Amino acid sequence: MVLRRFIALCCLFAAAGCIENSYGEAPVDPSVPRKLVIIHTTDSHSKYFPFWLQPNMFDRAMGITSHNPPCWDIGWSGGASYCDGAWIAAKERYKVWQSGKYVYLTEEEMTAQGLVSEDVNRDGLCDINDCTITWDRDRDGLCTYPYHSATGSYKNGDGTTVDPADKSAFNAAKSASEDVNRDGRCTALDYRPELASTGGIARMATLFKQIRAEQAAFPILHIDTGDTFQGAPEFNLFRGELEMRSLQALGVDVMTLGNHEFDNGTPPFVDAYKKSGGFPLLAANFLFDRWVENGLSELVEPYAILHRGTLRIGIVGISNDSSITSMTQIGNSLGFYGLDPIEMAKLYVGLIRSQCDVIILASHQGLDGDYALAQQVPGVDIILGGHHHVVLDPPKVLTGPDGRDVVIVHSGVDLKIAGELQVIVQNGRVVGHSYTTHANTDAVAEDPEMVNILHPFAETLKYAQDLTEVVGYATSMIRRTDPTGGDSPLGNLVTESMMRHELVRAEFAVTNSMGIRADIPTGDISREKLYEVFPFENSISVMYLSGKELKDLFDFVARRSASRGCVTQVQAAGIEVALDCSPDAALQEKYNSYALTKSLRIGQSVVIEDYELKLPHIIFKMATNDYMARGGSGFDMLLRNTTRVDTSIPLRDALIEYMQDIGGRIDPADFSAEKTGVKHITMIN
Amino acid sequence: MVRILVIALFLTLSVACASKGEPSLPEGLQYFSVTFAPGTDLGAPGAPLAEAAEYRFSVAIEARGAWGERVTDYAGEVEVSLQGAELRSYKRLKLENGIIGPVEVSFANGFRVERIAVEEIAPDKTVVGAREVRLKTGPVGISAPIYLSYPRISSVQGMVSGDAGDGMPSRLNERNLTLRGAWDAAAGGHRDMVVVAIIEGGFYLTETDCDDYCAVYLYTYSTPYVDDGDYSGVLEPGTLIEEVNGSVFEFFGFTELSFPTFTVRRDAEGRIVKDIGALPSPRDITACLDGGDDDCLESAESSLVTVAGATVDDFDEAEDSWIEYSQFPLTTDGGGIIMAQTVYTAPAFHPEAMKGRRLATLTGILKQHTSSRPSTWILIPRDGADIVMEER
Repeated sequence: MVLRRFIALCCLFAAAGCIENSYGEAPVDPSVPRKLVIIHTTDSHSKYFPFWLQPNMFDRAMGITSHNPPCWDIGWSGGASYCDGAWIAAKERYKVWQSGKYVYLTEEEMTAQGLVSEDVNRDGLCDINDCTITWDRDRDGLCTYPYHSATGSYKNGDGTTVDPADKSAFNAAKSASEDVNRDGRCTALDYRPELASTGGIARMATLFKQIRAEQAAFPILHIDTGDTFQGAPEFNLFRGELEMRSLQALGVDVMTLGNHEFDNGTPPFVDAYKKSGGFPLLAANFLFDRWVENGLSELVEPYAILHRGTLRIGIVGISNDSSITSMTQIGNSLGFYGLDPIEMAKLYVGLIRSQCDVIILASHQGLDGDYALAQQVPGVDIILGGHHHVVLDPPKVLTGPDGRDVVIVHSGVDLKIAGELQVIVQNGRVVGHSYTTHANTDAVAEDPEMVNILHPFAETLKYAQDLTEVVGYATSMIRRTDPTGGDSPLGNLVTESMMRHELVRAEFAVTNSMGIRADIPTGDISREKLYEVFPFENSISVMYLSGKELKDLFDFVARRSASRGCVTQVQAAGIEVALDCSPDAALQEKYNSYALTKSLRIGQSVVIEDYELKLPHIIFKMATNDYMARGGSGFDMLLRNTTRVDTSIPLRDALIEYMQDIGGRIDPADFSAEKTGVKHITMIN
Repeated sequence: MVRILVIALFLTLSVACASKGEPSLPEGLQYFSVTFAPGTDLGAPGAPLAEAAEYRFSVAIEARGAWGERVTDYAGEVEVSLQGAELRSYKRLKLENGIIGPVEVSFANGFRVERIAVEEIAPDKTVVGAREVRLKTGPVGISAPIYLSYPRISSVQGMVSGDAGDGMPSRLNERNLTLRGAWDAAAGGHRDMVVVAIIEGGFYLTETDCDDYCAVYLYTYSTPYVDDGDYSGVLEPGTLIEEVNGSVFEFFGFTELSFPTFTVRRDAEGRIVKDIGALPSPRDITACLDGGDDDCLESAESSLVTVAGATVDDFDEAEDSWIEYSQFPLTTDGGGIIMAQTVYTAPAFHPEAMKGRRLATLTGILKQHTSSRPSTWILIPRDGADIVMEER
């Protein structure tokens, strides 16, 4: 028996030695420069199917542009839309951009110059109301260049097809085609104003294959820096399984855990992950509770050392626990605690630095957290970051405490781009780098293998809910922010819908600005769009607050807003509040707060006037979201309130009901102070 | 018997492992060496090369094997690149007999640390996706570091792109840079820069002892804040700044540093140093406006400026500039036009009610926006005190 074990051990040792040798390629002189290619994705937020996006200037700079001009835009030539010939009633002229300035022309002058106004109804705006037929951009009553699927080309007016080999003619037809959805017909479904088909993991898979083919001579890694969950109906329906399975199929080498991975709690994340087949998960700054057996601690490592070519690459995962409010504010059911990210990074980088040619922090700390990591943790070469949904292009290069250059890269959100970072490593340092973004648009074909993986999910999604159902119409962009920093049209619309819901009927409503995640673009408002506005499954909570609690609440909002550029951190209806981001020193001292509520009126009740609380004991009925009501985002004063009742009415449904109650046609001006005469939130800086 | 078996097993496994032999070094080209001509001055940390419009270096590029030996039978092509500087010499070089050189590599707009990198490229094109490319084949080379001076604000603002169009974009657009003040030989260090104003989620920074192209906007998104325990606080005018890092971005002709980080000057006890005396006097741009001199105005972009004698126009309140941005035009006594925006910093001033009123002086920060009309230049007062009305 003993002998058998001895022989078995001998075999194991010998085998292990061989395995180690299989790694042990010829030692490489560290002074020999070697290149490493890293594909970086982050904050994909469940956007695993393509979606329609209204590109902003940053999107356009990355190559995400619209092929779909709005129906009024006769002069569209790609990119952004401009209103040519808006009618200015005060001048009784058309406003036209000519030779670097606006000129004002009469009808006759327009005709003489061969100009056509896009403002057909002369209301000063170019919008859908200027279109007789939404798809008929050239206003000739004919379906211009319908798609012909048999040839993959477009039909001319005479019934012939455009020769796809004639790229110039083909592109011209593609650009002018009114059959936007390429179903061979011109219908209302072709009205997709200024939207670009963006994202999707099947296209991303194609991009990855192209990058891997182009960089086949070099070691390549794919690192994802978290927040793969939350932000699209796919997550609400499949609870993360789709994201985990497709990421695994994409060949991700490591993934850092973000804060949204735990939006449904830990067990659903573990379940979804286990269905994927697995890939390394990193989080060095999590301390697992040994008494909670949810399976997470066995899946997560603080770091990984990967061998690629002759390079040994150390990757330390730094997650973000600051946004996981359930961890600290409402009792910790996640089974782990957050540790200081700087100290943990120092610990693990120090541990593996000598074994590695290059050290990467795969971080979900956000920009400021990454700057701190770069400037305080010795031994770091690269930080791949996420959380703030920005693209750092060019990468930011800071000097670490040991004098080495630290290259910081962030690669956006929603799988709109893939980031490709190339570095040259020499003597254990990064001595050169370049960063490229690859736009993930409909110019990229979908990868058939990934489409196969997605297919059952896509079919289920299609039948589970009709996301294309139109629930309203926006006459112009409904924005979630306001240039004054105060309440916004979308914020007002949302809070009105909460306050006025027939099962709520509150005196006022407050919701956190960051809970409203997207503007609503001009045109049809689909259910899918409202998932972008409200990705979270939040519902309306009702509670009764005294004047004293209201002062606590709004003083907190004032402080939070002051530290964020004096931009309000809540949206509200039913109130008029003025928040002072920089009261004078005497007031700060008197009220022990560096930002204050200057005034607050609810209906006819003046609760606070000139910073002074007038009605400390009067009770008001408030509608808010369940996240805030449970103390999320630091609203501790709400957590302490014992009158909280959750109505279970989803914010998304309340908004749909409200929009339909008011006729479905939403003009953001109707929710602006100019029109209503009520400024719900005024910021004083 | 058993012993013999064990020994045999060990021997077999040993041979199995040994049969792989010593790890063998790969043959042929492994990397390139990029070496400078002997005696070349590459500067040193703290002692950078003197600033130059163009830097020229004589280098030799050699194909190297695993032992560092020159691969004399190598012939191929390499692509030359730099970290951030503009390459002025040939981008592709051919090696014969494992070497090319000495060959001149020249570049402009290099800062701090620059290296010359080379990569071997395949002789023929390959189709990848919809593109035809000459793939990189693997071997790379990189030179020793060249130490160059830190860029200054004037490097960003004063160097206009060769194809300068609307707004005169910076030649350093889309570069990530670490900026410092001018080198002070007497003090043996860089001069500090000074915060002049904090407006709109960012701050305006100016070099001291500087005439033109001295100021830049740093977009911090929210109120700039120094987070440092006991000495935390909101940045204030007069705060001295040692160093800033950010990415140059042209926002409709307005040059800004985005995603900035900055190092404030601290005293021996760690307190943030403020020096109100370091704040510059406003520069009078009235003549620049009257003459329609865009170059003159460009040189004052983001600076503290003043305009003497300007009347609020009878502007059209239906105009986009007013509706969207609360900007309104003023005309100087000499016929120059400038926009102003007072809504955020001097909200008590109501331009609609001030149409036709003449201002004795208007002081503030000079911004530019190429879509702004009727002027692309916009002045933002720091507060109400910057608007001096003429006595009626």
